[in-house]
Amino acid sequence: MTALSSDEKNLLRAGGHKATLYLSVLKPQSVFTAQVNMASPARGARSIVYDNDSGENSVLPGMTMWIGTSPGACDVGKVRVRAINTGTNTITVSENSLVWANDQYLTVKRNWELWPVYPRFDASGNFYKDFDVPYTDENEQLRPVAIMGPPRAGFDNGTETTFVFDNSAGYALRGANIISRSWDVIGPGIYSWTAGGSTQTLSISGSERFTDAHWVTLTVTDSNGKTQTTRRPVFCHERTGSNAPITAFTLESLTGDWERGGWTARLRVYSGATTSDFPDGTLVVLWHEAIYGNTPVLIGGNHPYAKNILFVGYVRGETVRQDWNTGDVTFEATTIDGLLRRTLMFSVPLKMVLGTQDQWYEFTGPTVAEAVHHYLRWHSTLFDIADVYLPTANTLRVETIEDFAKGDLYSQADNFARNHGIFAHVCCNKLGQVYVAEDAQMLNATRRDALPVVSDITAADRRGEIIILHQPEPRVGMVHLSGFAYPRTPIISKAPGDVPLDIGAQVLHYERQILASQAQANELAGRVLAAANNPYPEVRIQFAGHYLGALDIVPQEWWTLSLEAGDTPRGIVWTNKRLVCRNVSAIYDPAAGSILVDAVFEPEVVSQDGVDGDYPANPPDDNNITPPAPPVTPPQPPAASGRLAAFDHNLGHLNQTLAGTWETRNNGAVTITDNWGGFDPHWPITQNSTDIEDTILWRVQTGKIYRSTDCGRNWSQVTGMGDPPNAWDDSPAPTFANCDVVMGTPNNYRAGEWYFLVRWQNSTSNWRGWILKCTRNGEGWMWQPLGGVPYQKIDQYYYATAISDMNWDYPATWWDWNPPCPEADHYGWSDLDKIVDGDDDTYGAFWRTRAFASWRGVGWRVHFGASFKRVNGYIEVQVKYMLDGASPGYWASEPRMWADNDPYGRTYGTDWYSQSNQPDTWYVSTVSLTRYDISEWIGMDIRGYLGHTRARIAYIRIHETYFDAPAGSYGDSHPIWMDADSANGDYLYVTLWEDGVLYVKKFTTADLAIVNSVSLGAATINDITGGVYAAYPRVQEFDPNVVYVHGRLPGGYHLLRSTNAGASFSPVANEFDNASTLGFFIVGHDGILWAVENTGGTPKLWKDAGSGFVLQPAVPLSGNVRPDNMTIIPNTPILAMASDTTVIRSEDGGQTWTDQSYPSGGDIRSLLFIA
Amino acid sequence: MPVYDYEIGTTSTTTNIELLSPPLPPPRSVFIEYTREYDKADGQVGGDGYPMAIWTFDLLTTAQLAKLRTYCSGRSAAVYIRTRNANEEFVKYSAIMVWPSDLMKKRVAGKYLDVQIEFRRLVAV
Repeated sequence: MTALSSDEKNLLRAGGHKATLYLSVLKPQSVFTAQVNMASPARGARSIVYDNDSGENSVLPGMTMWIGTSPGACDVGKVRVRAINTGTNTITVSENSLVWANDQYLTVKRNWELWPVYPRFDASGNFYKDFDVPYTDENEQLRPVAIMGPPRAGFDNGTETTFVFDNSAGYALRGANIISRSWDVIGPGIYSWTAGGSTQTLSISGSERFTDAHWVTLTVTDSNGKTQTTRRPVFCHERTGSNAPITAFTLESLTGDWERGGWTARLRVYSGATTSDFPDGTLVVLWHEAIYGNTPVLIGGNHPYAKNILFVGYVRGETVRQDWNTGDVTFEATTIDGLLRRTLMFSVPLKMVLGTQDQWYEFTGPTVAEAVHHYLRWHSTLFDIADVYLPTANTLRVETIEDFAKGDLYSQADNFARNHGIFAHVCCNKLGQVYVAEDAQMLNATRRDALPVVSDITAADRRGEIIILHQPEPRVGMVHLSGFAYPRTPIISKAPGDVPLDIGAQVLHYERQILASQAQANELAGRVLAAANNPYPEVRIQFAGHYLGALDIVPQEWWTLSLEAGDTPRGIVWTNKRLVCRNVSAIYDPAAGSILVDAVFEPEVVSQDGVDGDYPANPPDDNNITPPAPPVTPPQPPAASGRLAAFDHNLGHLNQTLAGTWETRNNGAVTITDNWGGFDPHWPITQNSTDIEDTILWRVQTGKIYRSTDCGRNWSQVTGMGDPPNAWDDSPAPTFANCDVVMGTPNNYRAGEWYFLVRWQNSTSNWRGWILKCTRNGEGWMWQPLGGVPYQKIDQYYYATAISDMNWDYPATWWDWNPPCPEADHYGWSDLDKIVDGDDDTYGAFWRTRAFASWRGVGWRVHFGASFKRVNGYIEVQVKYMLDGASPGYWASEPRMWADNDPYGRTYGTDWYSQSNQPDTWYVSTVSLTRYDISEWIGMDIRGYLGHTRARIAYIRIHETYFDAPAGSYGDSHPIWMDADSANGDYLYVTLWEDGVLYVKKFTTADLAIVNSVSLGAATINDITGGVYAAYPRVQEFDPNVVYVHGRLPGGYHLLRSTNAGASFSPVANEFDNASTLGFFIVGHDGILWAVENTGGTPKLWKDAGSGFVLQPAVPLSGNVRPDNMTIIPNTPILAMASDTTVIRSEDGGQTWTDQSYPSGGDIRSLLFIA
Repeated sequence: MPVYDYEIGTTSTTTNIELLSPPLPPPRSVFIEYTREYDKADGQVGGDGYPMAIWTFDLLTTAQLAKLRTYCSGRSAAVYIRTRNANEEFVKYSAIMVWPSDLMKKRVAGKYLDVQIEFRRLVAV
């Protein structure tokens, strides 16, 4: 659009506007037919051999090919033609997943559509576009951009139809120039071109000119010799008869919106709406003739030679209506941005390379325009069928781009350019021309002044009322903006300054911006803040007549509006206030031939520059950044020293000497009643030694944990853990001194981190248990109570009981509700039987907002009458709501939750914000609150978007979560054993008895949070303490998914295995005696299973090397082998085993054993080969 | 000789309706210059849309009605008319002739009373 002339303004303001609308629809004709001639074509084949063909010389690259099971059908699919070889009868098509079959029917249409073009890595790591296009110089010599204008339609003069094209448009990038333009046309008819100044005029004659659209082709060549071809259909029509455009339709709505990025039209067609008349997805052109007063003229339009075009879009959906008598079809069509949104595209990173660029992803210093060009040019066919205007005026460069993240074609480009670029938004005008346009509000004063002014808006231009939204209170209190000036100068800025605005609860963060300098960043931060807090965010104007040609959402241009103090009740005074159009909607009365237009404008804001941001006092230095520690290679189990050590409940710690005797090492240990002991797998690194006498050992007893750094010769007590939390409210409370430390296990991946099982009996013999976590060898401690049910599970939905503190931020907003609730105890619908049976779709409205305006909302507190804690890190909350909008696109959303007890902070716990929420549909949104517990109430709000909307809320409820448990409600707990995973050190597996059930539970090592719990069956505490049942977890080395539980379990099981990281367990086949207990079990990283069956007499040793457990020769041992009383030197046949009192050793994989002369009187709890 | 200049035809060559066979009586006509009106912000009344004319025949015979029907065999048809405009001048227009849908209510003793024919989207030719 350019500025309206005074004559045009006079015509517009004089009234008497008349318009007639016409509709042209692309019905692509077939140019080629054939059948697949391949015995068994592969799925997704790209080279298709054909026969029975006709018209192969008419096939051009980019055309659409239909594949069907009958002639002319498309029931198998569509693909893009890439090439045809008429010699070999082979047609090459784009990547696809079609199920090809011999004799399928092929039909190539004279049609060029929007297609995605995927990147591909082959098995050798070579990177291609469009399957097999290698990189040559595409990121150095960018293809030019051909600009042709929109598709056209017009009336014939009886002998020919003429269309004028601009022969000076288009542009090249990176300093190149357009040096030539070549025009052509494809279709039925006789063509002639007439050059005139900067135009090319196409005349189409011949009797067949009305039978199909004509595809005008423009190829531009730049000074690098690079070319780009683009095509548009043009339609020739007679005024009456079968070649006339469609007039039997009504335009139900025509709306363009800056935020939505394009235009949408709803067309109701009364006849001629068959699928051949309106093919699915086809292109439609809405065009018109206009008379202003008595002057036939077209005013406005974004293309000088296509002013009659009102809308170019693609059919996206339809509503077919048929009653007993008549029928019609309502089509929804969108501009091409809608097609971009429907297509998946993979991530497209671009990185700077110094030197030769020889990969598609190497691109040295692209501007946003160049990066978006790369993205859209090589990943779609957009440039082949539409004008694309890139922000070439902005020459800021960027080093690396990671923000073309996987998504759809539109959002990827928009997200980068708008959120992490230069505030450039992808938006389509009503002619279907795509603009990547920097937000006018973000431009500096010079560039804003350079935008043309279309017209002033006087009272003569307006009908009805003018609505000015006034938002005196800022909503954003602070803006943080950061990014880089090319190539890598970091810049941080903030606005308004060091102190936020006194009003405005939100903080906006804009990161990874492409910046020029600190000063420019400061200016930009100020503009972001000003735009976000625009005191007049919207001016809604109803225009007096057909101003549709003059109004569009891109390119952004100014309109001006002046108001005097008496014009509005609030005395707003504006003098030539500049406004930018953000929304346009039009209606058409076909009987009267009138078009009326409404528009929403955003007034220009004035800003104060921000200030330098908070730079770190010591800027990060890439050279001195300590890289994250590489994954720790788990230390091997004990090296083949062959030295045995034991931890004994009666004798304390003993080392085996070279002479085969046993040396007691208890110096420094006040007590020697060891329950368990082991070595620190990190000791060679910690001690910087491989001398076995430097081994770090740990031992645990009742109320004590000891550590030695000299292989047990001297011990020091590890302290600082304090007493365990009295989660059961026992009196007297537990003290660590009275607790049994049952066992411990190190973290193979984090040095100094150990986990201990602790248990205790209170004065009434109730068992209590904890996990005790130690970090940095005792500098840090964490307790986690075990057992029982820490929180009372509701096991049903828990509904809000009250609401309060309703607030709204717009006077017109108010709130009502209609108690009483159907169920007296609850606010909100509470039809519990429907909840149980899942049929919960019949809710009535309970809470209802009314008519809050755009960007306004209402907030409230929801009370539940009880506190709730996160269990496993979250609480689930559900809201069921319906958004009542005036029309599609006018919706309300964002039922959001505030941070608990901070209604004014508005730090939202979550958003349910979704633009896909349509009016008049019940939505149930579920969110897992992870940031806070619920203390009686939560804060929520809901807001409107675009227009007057309202929202209904059926319920707010907490879903299957847990009450905070009153003190003392923990159940009894008797922890038994524990193992840490050796694949990554992130989880612990604990077996324990709780209130009559034996469990294996999985916890995170980071915060000891429970991950899952699996019941192993019912058991009494006496079953556990009496040895009837036992359960010990054992994790397969270096495999995070395989976990075993061994022992003697309810149901007669001895060994269970989980292959899903402890989520579920299944029995492992064996021949163990039912009365036995599997006292020891280990599975090495070689996958060999070793098991010791405690029979009460001589234990049995079993080995499973992959084909099932095989009983090994008899073990010369009497008594039971405890879960830590067998040890193996990995990758050797050396084993050792102990009963309470005897140690034996085998050098041949358990075939023969020798007694190790262990001292008498022992009660061995752990036996190990010291590393 | 015809008294008035009301004319009709399927092409721009139109015939005075008083000279048709059978001849039609001259109608009472209304000319609506703007078919959509609205209040403008400056207090004026804006008017858009094509002009419209309505011919009202106080009485038509079956034969006269059938004659009119020859110009509009469907619900509507493109025709040319000469009618009196807002300045009391007779001007020729192209128009869309809309056949009335309530004729049966107007039928009395084989005659049709108060027949209104609407011509919309008038464009002077």
